Amino acid sequence: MSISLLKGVRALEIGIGIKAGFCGKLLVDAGAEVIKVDLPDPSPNGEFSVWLDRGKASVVLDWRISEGRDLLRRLFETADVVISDLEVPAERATLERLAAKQSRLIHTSLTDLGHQGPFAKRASSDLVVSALSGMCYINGVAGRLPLREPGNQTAIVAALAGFMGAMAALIDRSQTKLGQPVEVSALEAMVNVLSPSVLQCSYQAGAPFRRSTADGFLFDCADGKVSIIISSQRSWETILEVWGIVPDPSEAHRFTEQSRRENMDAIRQLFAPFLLSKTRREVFEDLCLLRVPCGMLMSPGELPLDEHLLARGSFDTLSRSSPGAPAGPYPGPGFRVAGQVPAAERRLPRRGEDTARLLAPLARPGTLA
Amino acid sequence: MQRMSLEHIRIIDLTQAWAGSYALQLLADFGAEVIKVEARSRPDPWRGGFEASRGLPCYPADGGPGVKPYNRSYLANSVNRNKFGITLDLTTPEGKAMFLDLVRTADVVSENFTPRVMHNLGLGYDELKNVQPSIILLSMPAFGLSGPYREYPGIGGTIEPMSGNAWLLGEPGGTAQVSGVMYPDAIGGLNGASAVLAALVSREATGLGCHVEVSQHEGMIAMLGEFFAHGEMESPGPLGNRDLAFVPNGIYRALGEDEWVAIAVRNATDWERLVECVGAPSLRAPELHSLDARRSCENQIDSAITAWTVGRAASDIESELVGAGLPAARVRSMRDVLACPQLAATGYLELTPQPEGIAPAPTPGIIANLKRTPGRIRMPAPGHGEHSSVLGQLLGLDAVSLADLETRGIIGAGPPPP
Repeated sequence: MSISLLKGVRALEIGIGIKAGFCGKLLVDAGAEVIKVDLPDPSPNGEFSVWLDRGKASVVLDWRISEGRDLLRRLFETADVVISDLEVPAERATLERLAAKQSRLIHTSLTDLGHQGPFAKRASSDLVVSALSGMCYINGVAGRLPLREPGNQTAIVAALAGFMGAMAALIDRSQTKLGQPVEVSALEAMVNVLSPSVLQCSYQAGAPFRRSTADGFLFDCADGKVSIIISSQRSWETILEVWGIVPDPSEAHRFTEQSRRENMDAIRQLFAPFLLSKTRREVFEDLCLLRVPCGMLMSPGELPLDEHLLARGSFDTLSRSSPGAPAGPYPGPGFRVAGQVPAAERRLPRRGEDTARLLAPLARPGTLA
Repeated sequence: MQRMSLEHIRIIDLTQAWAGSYALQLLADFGAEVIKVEARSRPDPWRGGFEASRGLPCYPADGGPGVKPYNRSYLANSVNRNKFGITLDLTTPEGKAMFLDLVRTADVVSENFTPRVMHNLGLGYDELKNVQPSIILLSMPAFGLSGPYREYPGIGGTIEPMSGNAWLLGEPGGTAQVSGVMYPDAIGGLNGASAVLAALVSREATGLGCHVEVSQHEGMIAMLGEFFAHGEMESPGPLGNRDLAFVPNGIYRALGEDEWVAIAVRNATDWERLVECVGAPSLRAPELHSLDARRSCENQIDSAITAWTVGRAASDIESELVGAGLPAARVRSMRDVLACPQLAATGYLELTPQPEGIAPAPTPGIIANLKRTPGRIRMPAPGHGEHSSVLGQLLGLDAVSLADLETRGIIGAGPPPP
């Protein structure tokens, strides 16, 4: 029997960015009914709609005017969760007031830098959050360009934090019958993600820093690169034995358990004759079967064709009832019910196509957009 | 004391290292009672081993590994707060029986082994469900529970290349890189906590438990969805700090050693403000109001901005650009993060007790702020096997019984007796 974890949960997504959009996507992926409520203004994230909006319903409503606000209030009465990531303070305050009138409603509000505090009113972006959180300082090569994670990953981290907050509040509501506001700051969520680095800084007086070479633990092989993590003496000895590698005794001091971390280039030279005769996949399969963690360096374009991801149904596509948008494939969710394949095909709503269906029962005549 | 959302939830946690331990810490932060169960003879690898680790530099600079190095690793201590810690030898019939007795009292069990491990222990979902019909099991194997790679080991540093993230991470035109930390582990943790929370919502509605799985691999791929938004992904290689929607979007060298400033231009208004601040004549061309025009000469724009930033202090640049309404920030080291005025104003970094005489240290607060039922930091990460008494309370064992179990090597703290 197929299980839909959030069946029966209705969520409204009132957002302008990836934070609310991805949080809504998480809710859709887990089985909730998600209604995306847009203002009549052009959507700033239109180009990401095929990634974020599949499976959602779409309503256009100008809730900045009183009639629209009244409709939104009535829509709130039908909802369990509201997700928002508004930046205009007056709009955010309007939503907070409306949400506060519904005692069972959970309103998760997502910001980049926080709802209060000296940075709360600053203009922001993913790159700014990455720079402020310490992430950029850690990524890259010492003395060279600090790097963010590719794309808008601080927004997605905030979305996951918002999803968790909403779920925890729903669990509490089942005990208390009461909803509540939930606030998430992408900056705080990223610092939380970096908890080990935060504690390392206190334990080891200022660390961590960027690594000394770009390659890190990536190794060249015949058709690309592989990463090999030699986390134990057993792994090291296994690799040497299976590959028939015997280090020069005069070099042995570079390859002790204490010194290997600082001598990755020497290890690269030691492994090169063997690795350059093997493909990524051969090395990956060989080492994983020996229980040594190894990964193939793959481009995103290779992933939808990967045999493992294909077998798991990890990517989905747009249904044929979504004309005009690229069919995909698009990455599926990061968690699932064991043994179930996430929805393989999702429909992209036309903007506002559900307005009449969802609002007409709530509306007074002449108030629909 | 304010109520916490998950304070009625008990979790028996077999996870280790970063991804799993972090998932369960997030749930413990929301109030769940999490009992971390480690093998009697082999501690969580993030503890660095019973002897001082030679390969994992994880101890405090002040005091080093000390007498109990396994309780002094910043790695283990950063992702296990708010948990109780016990040990059990699950390979013995008695240890396994005690584990199942714990499951009878629990709402959730979590593990992040490859799939065969729980199966071989006789502790798969069906066995757990037999003793606790509404149990939720979280499994977090690196590659998920199915598919050809399901039994392969994986950690952040091998998952990142396989997810496409490393392909895109690096200096433009340069070589692919992996993150400075095992970042996919943390993303796996976020997905693990999310999966359990969604399963608990489901159980509150239906009374039924279920088995949920997290593939760290898929969780990391999901972070890259925007690169698939135009159809099947083309593969440009490392992006630096460039963005699909914003130009310029970069980190620029500032005055001083390893000083940098991040600047983003979200729209034409931001562009006008930046041009006013930088003042370079080459940036004043009217056609550069268009995103496409800026994208076509991104290298030249970056050079003009660098010429302006390189002789100025990063903090001055940040002040000027933020004052002009632009998204900008000096690139902070982790030491800077600990002194961040925003995090100080919201009290997000809390001075938290540490085990084994280590000085209290600032640690991040709760990941989401529930205004009526906020989570809170209640206790530091447990030492190895620190809370055997919890086992006694839950299973009705007296001190004599616990001592006997310890003598026989089924429970206990620290290295097992020779």
